[in-house]
Amino acid sequence: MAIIDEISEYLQKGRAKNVKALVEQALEEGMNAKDILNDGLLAGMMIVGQKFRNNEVFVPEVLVAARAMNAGISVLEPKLVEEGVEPVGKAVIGTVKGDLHDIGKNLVIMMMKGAGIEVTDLGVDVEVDTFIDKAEEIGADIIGMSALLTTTMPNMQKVIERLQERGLRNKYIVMIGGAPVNEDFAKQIGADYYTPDAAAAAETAKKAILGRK
Amino acid sequence: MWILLKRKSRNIGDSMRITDFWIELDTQRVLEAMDCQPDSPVYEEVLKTYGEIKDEVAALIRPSIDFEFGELSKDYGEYKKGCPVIFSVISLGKAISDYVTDKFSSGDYLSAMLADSMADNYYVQLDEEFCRILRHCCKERGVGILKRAEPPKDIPFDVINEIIEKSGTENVTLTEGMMLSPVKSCAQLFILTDENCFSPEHDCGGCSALDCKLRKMTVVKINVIHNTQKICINARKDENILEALRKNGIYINAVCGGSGKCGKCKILLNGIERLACKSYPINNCEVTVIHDDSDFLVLSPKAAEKEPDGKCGIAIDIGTTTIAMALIELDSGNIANTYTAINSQRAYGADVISRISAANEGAGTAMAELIRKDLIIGISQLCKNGKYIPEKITIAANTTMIHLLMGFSCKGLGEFPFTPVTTNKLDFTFGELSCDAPKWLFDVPVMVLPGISAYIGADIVSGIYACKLDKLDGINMLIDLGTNGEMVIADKNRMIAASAAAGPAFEGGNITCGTGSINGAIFHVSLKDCPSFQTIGGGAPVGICGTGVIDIVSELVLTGGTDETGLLSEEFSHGVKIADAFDGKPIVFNQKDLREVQLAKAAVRTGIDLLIKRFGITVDNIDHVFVSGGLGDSLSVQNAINIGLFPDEFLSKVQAAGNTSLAGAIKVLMDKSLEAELLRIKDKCTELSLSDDPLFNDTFINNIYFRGGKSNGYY
Repeated sequence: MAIIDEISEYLQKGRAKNVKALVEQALEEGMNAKDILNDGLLAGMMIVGQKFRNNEVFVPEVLVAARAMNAGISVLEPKLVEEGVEPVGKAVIGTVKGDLHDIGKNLVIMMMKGAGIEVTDLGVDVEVDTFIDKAEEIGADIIGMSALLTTTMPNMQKVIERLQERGLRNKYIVMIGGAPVNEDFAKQIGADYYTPDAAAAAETAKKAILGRK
Repeated sequence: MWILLKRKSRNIGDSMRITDFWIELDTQRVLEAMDCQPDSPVYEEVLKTYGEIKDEVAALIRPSIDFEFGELSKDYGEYKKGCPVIFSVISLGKAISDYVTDKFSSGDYLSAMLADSMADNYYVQLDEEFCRILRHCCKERGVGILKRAEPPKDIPFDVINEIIEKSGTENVTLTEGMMLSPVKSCAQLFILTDENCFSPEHDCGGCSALDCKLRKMTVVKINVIHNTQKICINARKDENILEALRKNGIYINAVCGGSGKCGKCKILLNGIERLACKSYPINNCEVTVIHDDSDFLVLSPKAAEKEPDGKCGIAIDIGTTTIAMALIELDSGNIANTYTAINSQRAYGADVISRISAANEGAGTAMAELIRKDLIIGISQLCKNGKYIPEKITIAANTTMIHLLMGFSCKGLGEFPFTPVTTNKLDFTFGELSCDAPKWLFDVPVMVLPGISAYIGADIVSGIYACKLDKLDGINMLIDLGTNGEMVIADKNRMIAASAAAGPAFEGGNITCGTGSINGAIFHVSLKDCPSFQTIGGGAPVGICGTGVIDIVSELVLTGGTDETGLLSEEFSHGVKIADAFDGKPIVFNQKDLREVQLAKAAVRTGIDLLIKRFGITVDNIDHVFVSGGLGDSLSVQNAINIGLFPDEFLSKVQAAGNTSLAGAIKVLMDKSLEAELLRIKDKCTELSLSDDPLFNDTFINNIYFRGGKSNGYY
């Protein structure tokens, strides 16, 4: 098996040590960091995400795979900078004002990173303008919002309204998620995408970004 | 893998804040809640990480419950101004959420999700614990709990503001999105009622969170009739009625621990007789509690039954079945008064094994509360509610009972190599043991006597001390015929102890018509001609207690009613009818019961045989045999020999020694220097593990047979 496939295989099994060692070996053998990232780590993570969506694996398998991916990336990071490898795209993600839940948001960040997207985590209880200001600052493609309460859901709409006010609505892909959120609500407030789980969010985000470019 | 946290509480003005709890995280549930089943390919990996972080995470959970009785200040939908309620806020604190967030940020997703799942598991248990506390508080105040009103389903959302304000919480605030901060916090409103109804639980059945991993079954209402009282409780459809009753403080006898074997937990379910442990409530129903063994007679020393002169202390023996206490005048050593009761934990099973299983399945907190409550009731009665304040309290008990009292994990006791948390002497104040204790009892020092091992406990150390077993001339034995049959052999130089898993047969447990030593229990039986019997208290017979069981088997052996292997003769193929009970049903001793007795007597006898053998002597060398425990006083030694429980040679050697565990605890109370003596015994005594002895199997099998009491030739 080619080393790149081995990386993918071990990543899917969540074997952080093996992944790390194989990435180091691949670099020594002269492979470029971009290929190791895309064809090894991210490819493996994508398979895990698909399996998760098909109910073939569950949350724990995804968690250990993501951990293994991080182990690989930690080795790869300096080389990626050196090679000037650009991420698939960029996203800012946070939980809206008044809401402190962050598990769902954190899982989305984990999966988006696994899809090769550079994510800025805005944390929880995020002000309307913070979403927009940060997106402007880093040149994001996506603004992602999470809410877990019916009482805080309306704050998603406020962000979209504010984007319109500032004339920036079409500059960003707006994605929303959270237990009380659904497709209808997304349409109603004018968000671009609603996704029901973290794996779907990452997949959708990647497609949306690539579709734009 | 369980984590232990203790519980304390304090009152702040009228409102109550509780900040420490004894809650054990349930590893299996923590993993299941994140979809990690044992067959998962990453199960080991997840379990490993769990092991690495659990202590750190447990220390970050800073639980608090604030609650206050009050009234609604304005109308909220159907609930009007002035409606009596309890405002409460439960929180796990901020540190745990910060940990989860940090772990996510640093890419350690697994630790983050595990910690989150641990927090949820803790929260659910905390909520259950809170329901118990509320039931207790409301019963004391004489108010009922109609329901938990949950916004926005039952009551408008803005009631949250009033709950936060009135609960007296200091560490939980509200965001502008009406969300509680820290995240792992929740506000509750309980609607109070004059009715005798206690339903503080969250009802998953009416909850909209359909894919909640913690979702449980729908709740139904049960009207319970117990001792002429009628109360209304909530029960989940997936829990049996025995569990539902226990949760609500109604403890009915379940000798087998609720496995459907003993048939003691009979109830009337909508008028039809059923076993509580095998009945699940599908719809609202009515349950009448039939069995109640609150009038159990417990062996205790003779007391003056008077007010104590001068300083006093209390000695306590916690048995698996019974509790005995004595109020002692410290100057004279006289027993001023005694108190006996049933160990309420009996509702969780008759023997230590079923209690250990129950504790390991999550009933540890409930059982700890039960025994502490039992102790408070007894001490309060002896001390006339604080009229006399004891200088100190000593407690002797077997190792399991001590674990359950102290709230120690019983994991180690239940599996090889049977490691107790500790068998050391323990010192603390009563207030540290139980926050429910009356104020006058709070600062009273308590000493738990040291034990030897998981199965040779402080009760035996205490008994050895009380009998002066290793101070007497010659070679002497102590046999405690309780639910567990412990025995010790000693001379002045050596001492060996063993524990035989006798089971509860000699206490009337696991016997079809068996009963404890209660009024109406048949305690002597003669089968000659037509069966005649005597009952405790002389009243109408209700069942057969331990000595009655031994009498019956003895007669069967002597008259040929059973063969050598324990097979009842044809005449008794439907069992031996002893009497008609007051309700007209026959009291019968059948083949299954005889098998139970065979196993029990073989276990004890094997212990005796092997102890004697390993001590390097023969039975003739023994001078005295002290028999302690409930059977001791009324046991016919000849009959015990007839069934093979004791060897023939014991006939002239046996002395009934009463409750030696309590006697030892009394002595320790009198003289603090004796603590050193107990430690000496603990060090001197070695344990013989019967089941590891190469002769165990053969000896045991031999002892199952009946030999008309003849020696079996093994020594």
